[in-house]
Amino acid sequence: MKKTICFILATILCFCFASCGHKAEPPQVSLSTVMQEIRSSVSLPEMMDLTAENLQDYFGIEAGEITDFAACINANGYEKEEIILLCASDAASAESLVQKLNLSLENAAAEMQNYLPEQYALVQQSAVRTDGLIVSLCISENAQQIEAILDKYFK
Amino acid sequence: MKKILAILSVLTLLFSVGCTQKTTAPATTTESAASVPQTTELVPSTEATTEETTVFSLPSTTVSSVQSTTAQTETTVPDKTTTQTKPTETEPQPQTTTAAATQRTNVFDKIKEGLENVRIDVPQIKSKDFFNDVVFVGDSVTQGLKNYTTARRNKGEECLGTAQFLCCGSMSYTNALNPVSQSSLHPVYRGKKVSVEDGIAQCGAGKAFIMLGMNDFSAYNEKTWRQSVQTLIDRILDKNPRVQLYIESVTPIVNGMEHGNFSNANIDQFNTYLKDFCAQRGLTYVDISRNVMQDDSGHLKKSYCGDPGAMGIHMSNAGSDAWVQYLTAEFCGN
Repeated sequence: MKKTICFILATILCFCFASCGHKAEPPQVSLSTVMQEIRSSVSLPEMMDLTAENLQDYFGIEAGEITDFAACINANGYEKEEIILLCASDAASAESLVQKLNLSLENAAAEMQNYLPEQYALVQQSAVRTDGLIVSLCISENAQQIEAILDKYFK
Repeated sequence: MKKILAILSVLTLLFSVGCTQKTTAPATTTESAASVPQTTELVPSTEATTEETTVFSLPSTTVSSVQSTTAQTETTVPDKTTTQTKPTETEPQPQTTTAAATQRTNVFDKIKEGLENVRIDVPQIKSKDFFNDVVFVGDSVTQGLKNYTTARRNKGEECLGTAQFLCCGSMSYTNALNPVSQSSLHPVYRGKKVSVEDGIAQCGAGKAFIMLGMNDFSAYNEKTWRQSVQTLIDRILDKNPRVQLYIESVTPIVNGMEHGNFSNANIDQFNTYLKDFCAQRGLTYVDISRNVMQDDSGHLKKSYCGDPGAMGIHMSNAGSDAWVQYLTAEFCGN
């Protein structure tokens, strides 16, 4: 009997350790720091920064879904250059953020398909990226450079 | 031994609770996260510079409701006609002012004359809160205005009150009629793609400024886009019977960028139709094109064009600024 109880307790302890070990850890760096590095490394002349309120307006992202963010979009209204960096509150929020950014990507493709072919190609090459709780979207001519910076911090 | 087992059990449980709390509370709150604001709902302006004074009941004919002011005496804005077209069946209300009484008399005179559609010219109501319950509906040109407005608001500047935007690049009167789907061209409101009429309803707007058409006359024949304008406006009013519609003209193309159907002549034709349609249906036509954007030759002013080497139709910051200034002067009075 005692051996059985000990075995059960030991098993519970193992599960506890395992679940803690696999938790998606938030990054140790502020996303605005990452964005600063991106903007100092890559030419992004017409970009405007978004606030949390703007994120809700443009992407439907609720304040409770994120614990940190940095985002900018092209200000001219017709070019779809976007760099969105989000830290999700938890795993469920991360899934929701992926869905919302994918919807934005779909819409951008629909808008550009018969409109601006070069912009459409950019959108087609882009994808929503997930690194633990970090969800990001980068639509840019300089996407490779930007992705390399993201790799440095989050991969 | 039993005591040791009990202590071990308690420790195990405590440890489990500790792990659970840690997984649900990530520890990266930063400056930007701390400043995440809560959602703000659009609340229609209630400042009492205006009042809905008259609703006429006209059995089996077109009925109009007239907006008037008791004290406002601003002159009528050219190219604007303000009435509402959707029938509202209520009893006539008693008039308290001479001006309003005169308007009602004029309306009944016109009805007596057997006019099918009643058109009433009334002074444009000006209020500093005018744009607080406005939603701007449009394509990429209006998207540019949204971005300009957002950037100014982010700097703490006042710009078109708390007006909202429902925009989608390439959207037109015609393709906005398509069912909402993954590939359809419709605006996104709070993370969901919506039809224009549903978007206006969901954002709670009292007034809608609509600027579409650039992607109509260049892609569809005249018969199609004429029908599309009527159908979309009908859908909006069916879904939002109390919303006031302001139809903005299509803005011109910069010199050198016209090609084929994509011409200022076709824009003029489209705008002439919009103006006549507004007069016929009792909607307000707002001539952004002539009053703000056109140069002497009818092209988009060069300094207002943000993409002179690309499409030649989108606004620069100077163009957006002129647009905002015009709207503010016309509807807010400053």
